[in-house]
Order: sequence, then C-alpha cells, then structure tokens
Amino acid sequence: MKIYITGTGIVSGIGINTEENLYAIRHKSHGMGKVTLFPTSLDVPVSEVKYTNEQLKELLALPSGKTYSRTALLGILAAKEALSDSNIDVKAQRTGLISSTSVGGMDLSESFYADFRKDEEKGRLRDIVSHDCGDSTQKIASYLGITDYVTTISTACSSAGNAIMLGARMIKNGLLDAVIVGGTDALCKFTLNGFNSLMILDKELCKPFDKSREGLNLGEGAGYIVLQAENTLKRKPYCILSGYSNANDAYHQTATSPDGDGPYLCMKEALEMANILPRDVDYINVHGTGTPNNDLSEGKAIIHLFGEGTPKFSSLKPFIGHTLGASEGIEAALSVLSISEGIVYPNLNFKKPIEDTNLIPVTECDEGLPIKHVLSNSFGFGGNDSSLLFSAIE
Amino acid sequence: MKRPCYINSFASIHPDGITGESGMLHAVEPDYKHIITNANMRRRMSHIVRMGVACGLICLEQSGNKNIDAIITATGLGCLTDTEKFLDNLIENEEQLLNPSAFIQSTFNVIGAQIALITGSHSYNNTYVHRGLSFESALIDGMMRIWEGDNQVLIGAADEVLPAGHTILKRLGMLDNIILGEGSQFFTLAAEKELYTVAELAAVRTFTGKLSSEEMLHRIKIFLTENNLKSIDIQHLIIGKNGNTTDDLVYNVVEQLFPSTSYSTFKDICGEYPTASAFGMWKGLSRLEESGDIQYLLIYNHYYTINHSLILLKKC
Repeated sequence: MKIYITGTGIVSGIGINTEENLYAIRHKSHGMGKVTLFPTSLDVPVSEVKYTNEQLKELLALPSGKTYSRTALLGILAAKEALSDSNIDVKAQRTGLISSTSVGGMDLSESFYADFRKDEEKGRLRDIVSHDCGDSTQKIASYLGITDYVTTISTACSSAGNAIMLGARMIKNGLLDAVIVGGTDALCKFTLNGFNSLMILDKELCKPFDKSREGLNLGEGAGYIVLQAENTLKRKPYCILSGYSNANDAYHQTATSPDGDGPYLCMKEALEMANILPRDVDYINVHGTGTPNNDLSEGKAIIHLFGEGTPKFSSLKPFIGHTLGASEGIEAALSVLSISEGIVYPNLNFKKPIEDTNLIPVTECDEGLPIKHVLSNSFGFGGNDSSLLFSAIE
Repeated sequence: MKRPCYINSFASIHPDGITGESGMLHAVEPDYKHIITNANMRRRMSHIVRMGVACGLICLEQSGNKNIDAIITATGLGCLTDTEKFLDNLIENEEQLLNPSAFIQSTFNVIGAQIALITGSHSYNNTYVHRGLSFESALIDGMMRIWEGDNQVLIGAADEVLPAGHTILKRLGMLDNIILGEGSQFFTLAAEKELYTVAELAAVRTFTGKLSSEEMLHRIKIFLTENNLKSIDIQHLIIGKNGNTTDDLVYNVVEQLFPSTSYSTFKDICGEYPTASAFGMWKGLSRLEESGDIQYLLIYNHYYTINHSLILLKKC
C-alpha cells in the first residue's frame, strides 16, 4: 500500500510558510541571530521565528486575551498550511493528527515556575496549564477540527520522524485514511541551558560535517506533512513515503556510538522496506547537527552503508538551527520538496571535511535534478534513531 | 495483517491506596538493587525512571522470552523531579555552570532508552506523551507492531506525583475530592500464546474532546458492535471513578448500559494521574487470572473528561 504525501507546512527562523523557507534556502539566507525571546546570559546564535506570540495569534485569528504556548502557536500555523495544501476536508475521511514535541509548553511553564518557587501561591496559572506535551497537539487538533485519532510523541530529536512513521503505519493498518504528521518546538530557557550544560552549543554559526565543527545552534519552528491513502486524494501528491525505520543505538543516553550503529541500522532498514539499493538514493538530508560526535558517527554510518558511492547530502541546520521535536517535521517537508522540485540544498559554513570520513556535503543549491529517492535522518537522545525514505511516484 | 495480540506478562509498581501525609498516594517500591543491578545507573535515575525501568525489567523477566522487538513507553507528565531540579539549578546559578544530569534525565523517552541500554536492544523504541491517552497510544502502536510481524513488544507507562504538581492542581481547582497518585505498569504483548497467558488484548480505542455522557454511551455501543459483542457479553467492567462528582457522572451513565455486569474501580488504589489506566489494565489482568467465569473484561477510563479510552481484554 502506498502512502502519499499531499501537503507540507513549514514554520522556521527563515520563514513562516513553505514558500518563504524555500526562497531563503535558495538565497542562502540563514535565520541565526541573538536570543530575543527571553532574557538570557548565554551568548549563542539561535534561529528564532521572527514573529511574537501576539503576531502569531493575529495571523491565526486567535483571541489575543487567550494564552497559548509558543509551541502550540508555531504548530497550529504549520499544520494549518499542510492541511490546506492537501486540499482535504478533515471530515471527509478518518483524519488523524500525530504531533511531536520535546518540551511542550515549557516556554510558559518556566516563567510560571520562576514565581512559583518563591511563593507557591504565585505564578500565573494560565502559564502552567499548557505544560504537558499533549497540550500543543490538542490545540492544533481543535483549531483544525480533527476529532479522530490524536496523539503526541516525544523521543527527543527524532520525535517528528517517529510521528511520521506512526501516521504511515496507521494508514497501512487501516486505522486512518489521512493524517497530519510532524512536530513543533519553541525555544525556551530550559532547552537552551540544557544544551549549554552539555557543552554542545557552538558559539559561532554551526558547521555540520566540517572538520572544525564545534557544536550545534538551536532553533525553533514546526513542520508537518499530510499522509494519505490513495482513495482519499484531492490533489496530485508530491511523492510517496516508501520506507522508514526506527532503531535504537543502545550505546549512551546522549551520545551516538562511535561507528553509528543505530544510524546505520535505521538507514539500512528504510532502504530495505522500499526494496531499493544504496546506489538508488539520490540525496540524504542528514541529521548533521554540527556536534563533533553526531557528524562523525553519522558520517561513518553513511560510509558503512554507501561505501564509495555516497550520494549527495547536506544538513539544513545551518539555516534553521536544530529545532529538536520539530526538526524532522521541517526537514521531512523539505525532503519531500527535494523530490518534487528536483532540488538539493546547500550545507552552509562547510570548509574542510572531517579527516576520518572525508565526506563533502553539497554546498550550493542545485536544481532541475531527476531526484527519485531522498533519505532523511533524525537521531535523538536515548539512542532514538529514525530514517525516512521519500520516493518519486513512478 | 490483524492477528491476535496476547498479553504474556504484566507487572506493576503502585501505591497501596493509603494516602500519605501530603494528601498523595505514593508507590510502594521494591528494593531496586536486585532489579537494576548497575549501581551507577541506578544512582542517576530519578524516582519515576527507577520505577519505570524496574517495572519494565520485572515484566520482561516474567515473560520468559528475553527477545524484544519493540520497547514502547508512555508518560503523561514525564520526569517532573528532574525537570524541577534543572529549573531550580538554572535559576539559582543564573545559567552558569549547570549540571547536565538533570537535563539529560528529564527527557520524556528516558525510561524506554534506559531499558534499551540495559537489555542491549537495538529495536524499535518509541514514547507517547499525550495526557490521559499516553498509555493507550502506546498500546495501539504495540498492537500494530504485532500485526506487522513482531513477536514480542514491551509496553509500559509511568508517572510520578510531586508536591508541586499537587499544589498547582489544587490551585487550578482540579483536586475536588480527587487524590493524586502515581505508578508504573508494564506488559509484554506477544504474537504467540503461552500456557500461562492470561488474556488477549482484543481492542483499544481512544476519544478526545469534551463528550457528553450520551455521546460516550453511543461510542461504547459502536465499539462493542465493532467487536461483535453486546453489553451482556462483558462480564466485568473496570471504571476510572476518582471521587469527583463531575468526573464520575459519565461512569454512572455507562454503568446503566451494563446492568448485569459486575464492576470495579482502581483509582482508590493508585490515585488519579495521566497514565492511571495502565494500572486499570493491570488490575483487569489480575482479575482475569483469578476468576474463571469472565470471558470479556472492559476498562473504561477518562482523564478530566477530555481523554476517554476503552480497553477490551479477552480471557485466554
């Protein structure tokens, strides 16, 4: 059974819809800047969505008096675009929503908590009710009128990859006909400090797959795609989701194994599901966070699987940062467009390859290519690794 | 291919129904030393992670089959202790020289990840965090894994209760006659039935959004029809009554659909929390194990009237 992709929705530091994101990438214009969303003493580049919560509410015609977590607002905006792109009416078939997030409404709860810990009677209650991860998903579902299956996944940085996989499986198992899948995450002090405490933030712009890479830049945003069974299509689909795999590295809570066992396993299994050979892959949207650990392990896993014939590859994170729970939602949407637009994206800030792997990413936008198969990776804390394979419709 | 999905083992770490001084129900914990044998690992684990990991390992031990094709976990609120700890550290130290341990251990997927590390499992690993439907989402994923060819799937839920959470819910007016609780339950779903297998997971269904008692009743009737059952076929009903008049209304209506069915509750033992239905299912399985005359057992639970779920068990 084929799983068709019929809609994309992207909100990131380089644009609040798919078109703006593609335009910025084509013009090599990244979204990095200083933190403006909250006061912090950390001086590291981040990719913020350039709209305040009030502006986002206005765009969505939501009541300004009502409190929404930024995670929910970003998610609603991207999911709305994806749904409208697909041309489906959510009531016309069994339509689900599977969303992911790594911190939920922490952007509000951390400000609640600062007051609450001093005096338990203090802290604005409306800032804590959206703390749990399910809140943003429920808000998106009610905004879009989705009443069938709704759930939330959180497996750190691979969350949205798992949401996409679950959606495809629910259609294949006959539990849903159409499903909006992806993820959303807002920047917050909690995450920024968490990654800073792990000493994996680059103080400069991140340089995935570069010899001198020093870490990642965080970002925020949301990305969703719409998956459908053939009998519910209302437009010509972009491509199909032909393979996917979730594997565990089972090595360390926050680091990837030196040879990238988990990454290798999930890429290999995704190809096997689609019944294609490594040489058939035209482009890999790598996880490529820019940390010394990730890029080396991922690179080794790629060489292990592809040998001499490594396909074109690049990381989108220098544009939009690592958007954690949203990351594979946004990057899956861009992988889908890689096929439909015949485009491969530039990996910014790359100068010299890592000696151990000698892998050189795409550094310029290349268009008009006959792209048939795109692999998209996302790896997370807890050894949670996932790979998605998108393929052109023959 | 849809095929039967057996529950070959089930384990639980839960409160004993006796409310502590703080007005919360705390889980009665085993001696973790013999379950999580790596002392360093054990020391780093917070209360919820210890509970979850230990419960998962006990459940796996009981199943008799060490091979797991998937590890699926669920939590409504995740690792609250470590989240609080990292926030405190962040505020007190003004963002300088923070200890990353609490941040690392606060990730929602940490229980599933630690079980994978301990058992060396490279297989499918996923975590659901959808309020009162987190556990049911994990069950649905697990059932699909069995349909897709997996032989054994380890599934479980965990949530912890903290004084801060209690204070906040009280301020929100959400604790009227409700006792908060916590716990962890794990289950192995399997494609093959063993001699000791108690039950089959026949069906799971979730509903979100405010539903009137009549709407819920209607959905239960459809659910039964879909499973070729009538209300009279359900010999035992387990319901998630929590003592709150508004929350319990719908249960009273649902009970009328099953006039000849015996029923029992479970939140008087484990308290109210997002993944309490996992304890409901554990209780259902214990009931099926003891009693010979129950063929079908239905668990109906809702969380603050927004998340509703139905879990149907069939005795083997």
